[in-house]
Amino acid sequence: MTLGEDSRQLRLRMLAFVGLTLFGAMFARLWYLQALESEALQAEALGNVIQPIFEQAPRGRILDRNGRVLVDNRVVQVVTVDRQVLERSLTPDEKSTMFVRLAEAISRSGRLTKASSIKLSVNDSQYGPFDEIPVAVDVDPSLLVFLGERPDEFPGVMVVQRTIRTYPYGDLAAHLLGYVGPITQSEMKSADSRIDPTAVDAKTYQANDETGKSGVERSFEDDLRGVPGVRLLELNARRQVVRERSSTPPIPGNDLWLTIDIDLQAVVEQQLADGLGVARKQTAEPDAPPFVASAGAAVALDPRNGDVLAMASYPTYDPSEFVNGISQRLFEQVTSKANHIPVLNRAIQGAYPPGSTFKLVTSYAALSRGVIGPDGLLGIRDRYVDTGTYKYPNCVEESSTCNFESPFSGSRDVDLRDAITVSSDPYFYRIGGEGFWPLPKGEDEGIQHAARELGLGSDTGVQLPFERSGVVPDRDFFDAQFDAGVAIRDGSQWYAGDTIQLAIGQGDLLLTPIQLANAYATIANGGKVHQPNIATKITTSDGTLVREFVPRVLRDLALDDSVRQPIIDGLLGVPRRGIPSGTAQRAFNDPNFGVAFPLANWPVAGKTGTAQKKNEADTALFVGFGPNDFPALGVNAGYEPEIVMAAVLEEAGFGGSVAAPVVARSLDAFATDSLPRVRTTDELDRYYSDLVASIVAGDSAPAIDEASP
Amino acid sequence: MMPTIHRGDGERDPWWLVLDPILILSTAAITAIGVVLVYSATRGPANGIVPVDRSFLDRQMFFAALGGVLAVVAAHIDVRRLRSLVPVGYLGLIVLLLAVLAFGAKVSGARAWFQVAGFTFQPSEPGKVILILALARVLSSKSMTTARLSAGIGLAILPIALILKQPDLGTVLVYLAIIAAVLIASNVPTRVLFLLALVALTGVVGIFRSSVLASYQEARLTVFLLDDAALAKLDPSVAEYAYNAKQSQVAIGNGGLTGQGLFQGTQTSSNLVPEQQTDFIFSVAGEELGFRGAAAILLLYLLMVYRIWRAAIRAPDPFDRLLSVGVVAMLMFQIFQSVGMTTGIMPVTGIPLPFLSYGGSSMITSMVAVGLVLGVHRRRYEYVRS
Repeated sequence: MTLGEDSRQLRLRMLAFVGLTLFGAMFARLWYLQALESEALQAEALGNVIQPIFEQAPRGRILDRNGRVLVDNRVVQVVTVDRQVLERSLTPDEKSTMFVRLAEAISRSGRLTKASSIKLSVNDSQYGPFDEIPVAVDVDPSLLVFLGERPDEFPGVMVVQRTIRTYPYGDLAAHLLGYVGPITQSEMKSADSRIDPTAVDAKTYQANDETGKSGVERSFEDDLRGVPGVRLLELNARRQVVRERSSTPPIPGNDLWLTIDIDLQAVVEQQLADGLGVARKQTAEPDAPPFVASAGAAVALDPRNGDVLAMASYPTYDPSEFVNGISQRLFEQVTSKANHIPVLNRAIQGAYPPGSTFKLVTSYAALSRGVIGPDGLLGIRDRYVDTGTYKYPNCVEESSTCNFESPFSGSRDVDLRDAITVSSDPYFYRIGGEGFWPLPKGEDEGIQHAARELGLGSDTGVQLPFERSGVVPDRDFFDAQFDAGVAIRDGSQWYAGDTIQLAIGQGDLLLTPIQLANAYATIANGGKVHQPNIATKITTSDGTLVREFVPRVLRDLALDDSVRQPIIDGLLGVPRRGIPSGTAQRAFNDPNFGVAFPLANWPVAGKTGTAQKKNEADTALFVGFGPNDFPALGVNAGYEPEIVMAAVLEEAGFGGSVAAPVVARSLDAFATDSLPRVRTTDELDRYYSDLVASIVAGDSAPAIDEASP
Repeated sequence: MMPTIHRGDGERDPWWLVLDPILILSTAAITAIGVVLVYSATRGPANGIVPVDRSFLDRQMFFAALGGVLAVVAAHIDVRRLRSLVPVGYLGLIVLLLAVLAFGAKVSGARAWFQVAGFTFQPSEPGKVILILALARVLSSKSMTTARLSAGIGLAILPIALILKQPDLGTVLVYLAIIAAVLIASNVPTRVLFLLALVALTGVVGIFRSSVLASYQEARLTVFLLDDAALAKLDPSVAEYAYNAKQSQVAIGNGGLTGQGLFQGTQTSSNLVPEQQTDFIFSVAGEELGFRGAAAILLLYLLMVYRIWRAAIRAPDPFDRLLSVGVVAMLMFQIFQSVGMTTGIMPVTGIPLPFLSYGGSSMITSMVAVGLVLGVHRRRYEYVRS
């Protein structure tokens, strides 16, 4: 068996051919991977190793119209746990022991913490593998040293700094400001649809990021939120950090300047709380519902531009309780019906029957549609004898009642002005029953149309979340209620009695305090319906103007003096003693009851309201504005009303008795320029500790820079 | 072109003439590149926190130096002495392969290594060269009898069986490639070769259809053929192989035409490719040096393999010819398998890339093999002289 030389050579060349083919395959494959597919594979390589770590930016501050800081940020120490290090270094048993020791250490330093809550946080699946999981917030800085010296004992545990929300004025303006909390899945979704994540300054969210939950914290979330910082970390296959690729520092959120004046806000809140306190002390008639008076709201607007000057809701809550996550127990407290739902902002979310305050709307409707006027049912000066009851003359079978009562008994004759001043129900019953009801279909809903013109029955558009639109009842509303199965009458069964009740603000009518104030503002400013503004401007953290909020005029009714003046005249009488005396005269003249208001220099126009509700004490209301010219009194200063304020006190009694004093006292402080400068909680703490110190030392009380709080 | 040799009386030719400088230079270049790539794959994150790891670099340089010395020894060893050493070497190999099954350390599932004083030694690596020498000796006789052929095949089957027992499938494939190439280059008649090929083919099919291969081994061998959708359905243990292969291709693709730069490969510094200093070393070259660098390395290999093949085709002595062909087959198969595995055209089987991969056994074996071929080259001049 031998092989020739040629055959041998041939075989070796065949082997060479195989080798060359294999090399060809290798070159081809290499070209494919490195030239043809390179782009896709490079992208994949990048995704393999780059891990973005986001750092939340401090939120913008919230300031009042004068630059007083209402919501600030504070740097606090946060104990965090790095799950990765933890898992690498400790067995499950060791971990449990470590949690217990960590809880002990944190608790010893002053913040009581349970091992179980640490464990809960660490196991929270919402956190990503690289998140430093906060287990205790706002701990004593000494922990930094304590834990820092014991990395073996507490592997992966760190003390880092974070900013949290602080409220220098405590719970002042809590509803308005709102609170922040960790973002929910659905909030995240809605944010994702708003945000372009590819933008350089995209305010993207990560799980558990802070977001505004209510108030301006929510409605101005996109301004207040900063641009998160991001560090791009390069990781190896064991997911350990190899190096930092790039780092973009966070950009703080923008500052929000509110329209409110914190000093006025403080007065309004105080007066509301005091007014409710007074109302609670009233003794109810036997068999009458008690004066619970545990809830209410007050709103002050600038009628010239729609600025919200103050907005109070009672009961209130402390927004700082929401910082670091609110406990279940506390959350139940602030949302419980038994506590009257403290988180509810009644100024925009409370819908109330307006009672006689609605007579302004009926008056406007009657004057603007000629029901009152030369060719109308009554002339402006025509007088009507009010005997306390009204009998509807065209009574037919379907309308269940023909006799309409009022709290007044006796006999008085009133024209429009007096009817407003003394709040004559029969006068307005008649306007409804004999003025509007007989009008042709469509026009007979003139009161409703007028109400809608004034912005009632729809959101005012103030930049606050969860505003309610209230109800202006009409045939359509009856139809809708009937279709929804909540009413037994449909639109065809809207009777004269419904219009008559509506004329004095009773029935299904529901308004929010801000709607009420805004409607009065429209009459006060001559017809401009504003969408109230809660903010004046937005600036960057260093003060550069980002945008300004200009007055938003929804519509201009361009009220003729013949329409506006008779109403103003009637309203001007309400706070006055005279002939006749107004329903709020005690509140504006009797300092023991309300305040001795300087009506001669700063005439107030206003209206009381007392709305009846079944099985409850009456809802007390008052709306007033000033200063007004009062030609009859010789005040012709060319005044333009600067403030309109509405107060609503639930289950509190007569508007003139309990609501009017709240407004009278607040307006008094505003009118006389004697708003006390409200102190921050820190200032108060210092003042009181100085006070205690001086009493102990036997000195006289120390002076706080201006008046004592 | 054959260089003209002027013979003096008993005068020895200058060393630079009787040695093959192209083979030496290409081998040295690949080895030097390998040392750098091994360092890149093993130096660690180099982030200033963990100190840079030089231990692999130092050892690889030591292996290369030791390999170089042994190559010189192999190149100068007398061919008669070499032939006489074959039985001893073969017996030693069988003893070591038996011993490693009994006392060896299990690494990555195979009992293929001795571990002594911090060094590991894989007897199946030098076994490749011993097998080449044994086959060359048995099959180089002028007359090829059935007995000789059977003896040659029998000599090969014994170590293969022992290595299969470890089990180290990759090395077995290298042995098979060596046997095939040496048989083709030998005097075995063509029809017998076809017959053997048929038997081998039947054997391969039989192995895949039987349960000789564990299912994981079979899956590893076929996984590179699957697409992404099929990969997603795999068993996690097999999927890991697919993942390794994929990450290696990502690394090479990441290099692009010009590469990420030495020590700059993210896949490399992130340890995303497993066994990167050994079996997957070519992915470091691909990522950090790009197509330019990787293709240059392939060209160096081509040059190296060509010079060995050239030595084979010009070797006047059948022993030298078969020896060279065995070395060509060994290197060629390892190059194609390792590069093919990292680029995704061959299955994942752990085979070092000669001169480039980290590891003493492989480095020394490859160096000695090239040294032996240098000896073949040298002897060609002796034949011319005599």
